[in-house]
Amino acid sequence: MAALPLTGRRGAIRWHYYTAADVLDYTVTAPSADRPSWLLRGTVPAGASDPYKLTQTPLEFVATLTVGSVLRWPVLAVTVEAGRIRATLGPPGALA
Amino acid sequence: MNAFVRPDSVVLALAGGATIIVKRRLNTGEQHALAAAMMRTPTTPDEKPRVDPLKVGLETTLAYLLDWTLTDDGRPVPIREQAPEAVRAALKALEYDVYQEIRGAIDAHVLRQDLARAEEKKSQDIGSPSSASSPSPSDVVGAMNG
Repeated sequence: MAALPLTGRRGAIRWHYYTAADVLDYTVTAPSADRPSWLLRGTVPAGASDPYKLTQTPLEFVATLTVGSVLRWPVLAVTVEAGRIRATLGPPGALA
Repeated sequence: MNAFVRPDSVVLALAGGATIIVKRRLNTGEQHALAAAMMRTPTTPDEKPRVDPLKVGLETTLAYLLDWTLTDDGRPVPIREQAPEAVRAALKALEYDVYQEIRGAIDAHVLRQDLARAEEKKSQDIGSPSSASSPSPSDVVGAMNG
């Protein structure tokens, strides 16, 4: 995995088959010396997040890279405020 | 008995070895969305809302269906996490007997889940101590008056 931040246009926070939040224009930053977790930042369109589902476990961030190709990270903690999402993520799964 | 729907799935077998994966139950939001999706599009401003019989089966199938093992000339046709429009298009492209089999399997699944839910509620009512020990409304009134 590259150390450079991964950016993308569209992703989602998923709870099993539910979408807990749509995430646009996201950046995923790899862990660093002073931050052991992966970090997600992005925007959430109005009405595109579900406060109930965002409290459930397990959550995962699914980044669509190309058609049929996605990366998944487990979500450790997430907040959505004023249309901005910030989440700490565990290590990503294998490219699917 | 949980008051909230958990996102569980169930595998249903079709003839010929294919399977479909469906939601175990729909939550209230999904039930409302399904009811709205079944309505006929009004053709005049004063037309009353009514259910479109042609939409009932397709929209119910869309509401429950999560994935399948169906193939097109041996190639998988992925529907998991696809947009509803893509899944709708795939359903419409099926042979009609295959669609009917999927719809029948989902209808039977929904019936089984409704019966199971009713049984859960019945056993909870029977097992609940409140049903035997809660004061009746007249008891409450009596206590307040006394």
